Amino acid sequence: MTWWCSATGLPWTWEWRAYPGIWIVVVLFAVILARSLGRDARGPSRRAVLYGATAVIALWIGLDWPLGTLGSGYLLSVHTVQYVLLTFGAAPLALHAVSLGAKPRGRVARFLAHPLVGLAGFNLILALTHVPSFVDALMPNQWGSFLVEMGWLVGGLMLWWPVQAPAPASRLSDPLKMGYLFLSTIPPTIPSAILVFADLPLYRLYELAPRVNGISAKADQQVAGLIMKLVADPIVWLAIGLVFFRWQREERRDEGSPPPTPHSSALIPS
Amino acid sequence: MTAASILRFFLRRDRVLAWVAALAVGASGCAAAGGQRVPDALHGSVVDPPWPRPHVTLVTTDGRPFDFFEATKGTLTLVLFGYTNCPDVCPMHLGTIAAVKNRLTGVEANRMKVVFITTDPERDTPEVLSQWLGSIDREVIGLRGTREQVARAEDAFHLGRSTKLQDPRGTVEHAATVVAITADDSVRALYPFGTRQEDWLDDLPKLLARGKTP
Repeated sequence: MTWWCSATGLPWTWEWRAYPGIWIVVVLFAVILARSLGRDARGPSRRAVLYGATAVIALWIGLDWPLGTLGSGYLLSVHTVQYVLLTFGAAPLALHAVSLGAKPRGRVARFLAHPLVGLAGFNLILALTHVPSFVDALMPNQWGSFLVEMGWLVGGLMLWWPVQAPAPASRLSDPLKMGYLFLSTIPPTIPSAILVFADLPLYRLYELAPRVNGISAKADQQVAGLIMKLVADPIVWLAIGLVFFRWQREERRDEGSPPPTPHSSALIPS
Repeated sequence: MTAASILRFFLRRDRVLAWVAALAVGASGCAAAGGQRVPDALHGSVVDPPWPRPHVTLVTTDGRPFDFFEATKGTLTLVLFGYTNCPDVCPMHLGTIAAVKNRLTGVEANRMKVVFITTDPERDTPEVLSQWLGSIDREVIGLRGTREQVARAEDAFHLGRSTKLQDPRGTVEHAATVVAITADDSVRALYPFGTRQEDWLDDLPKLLARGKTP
């Protein structure tokens, strides 16, 4: 039974395919998010609901047909779009929605909000999920494909939590958050550059996959490398810009009064 | 939790991290180790003893008779059977070979020929075949023949005969093998579907070197 997108080796068609496993994961994600939002005593704000719903939609689009099918077995470029949607779309949007109302106090929340933990977790997952032999071995298997894609979501949550964590879990001041986000854009440059400048296709899976619209394996790989930098990085820069403007606004507001707490929560002004 | 306690946390778990790192390095190393070969070994299945270059006559896309032996003798020749509506194997093999040819020196590329013999002569008219091959690599020689001529050619290359299925897509089951014939007019190796660009890039210079005129 097909419950998750994986590489099949069959020629690509635009015929819709159902993946019940993906629907279950998306519904679970939505339920967990809704419960987290519901913990706010005042009830979730409309803004939180909007961000939460957008996160769920980003996750659904990133996993399900056609992106999931194309990305798991045909085009590395689409596989990278999935990575961007999950790590730089669904994850930060979900955390932002939660951060608008939650006051996480647990030790785990505070531990995960440490920038070293965030960077280490994100980069470890980024590295593992881009090693060719791992991808070639995992993606033809539904469980393997599930593992890679859930890894991206977890990696994204780890990356963005130090920026999004509200007080009292938060550890970073706004300038440090900007520095942290800037640092996070450096390691992905390595796999991105390798993909763009490699002489030969790196992934057996995508090299030997049935071609889609005549796109060559090398061109597909180069586009994947470009997406990793040119789509993911601007999202991080946007986040840096939002933190910067919030920081400036708070600095102006607090002029003449005692210095602001370094534990401001939401990335985007609520 | 302070930075020092975070550091202690990681130090306590250094073995876990080491295992994860070793796993990643090992996984990437496995492929490399698996690929270690003796210098002269080929990635394709070696034909031993080699067969002689077959004698078959078919027709080119511009309607001229093509005596395969005479037209290709003394040249490294890669031969594959397939059809233009093939959804996977044929475009993959031809695209892979074309990509690798582009990475060879001009001299090397000029010392080899690629021949594609259609197994679907009804649909692969000269125009269709010529246009399709041109979209992949203009230098590929496209050959046609009657069903009987194609079947005889498949026999001559020691490949299974192709079969046209009665399905709506008009699928043709055919050998997914590229036959490599070196300049000494011997069939030296067979390359199955799944042969990668790096394999071809490794093997083509070796195949070019075999039977090379001193």
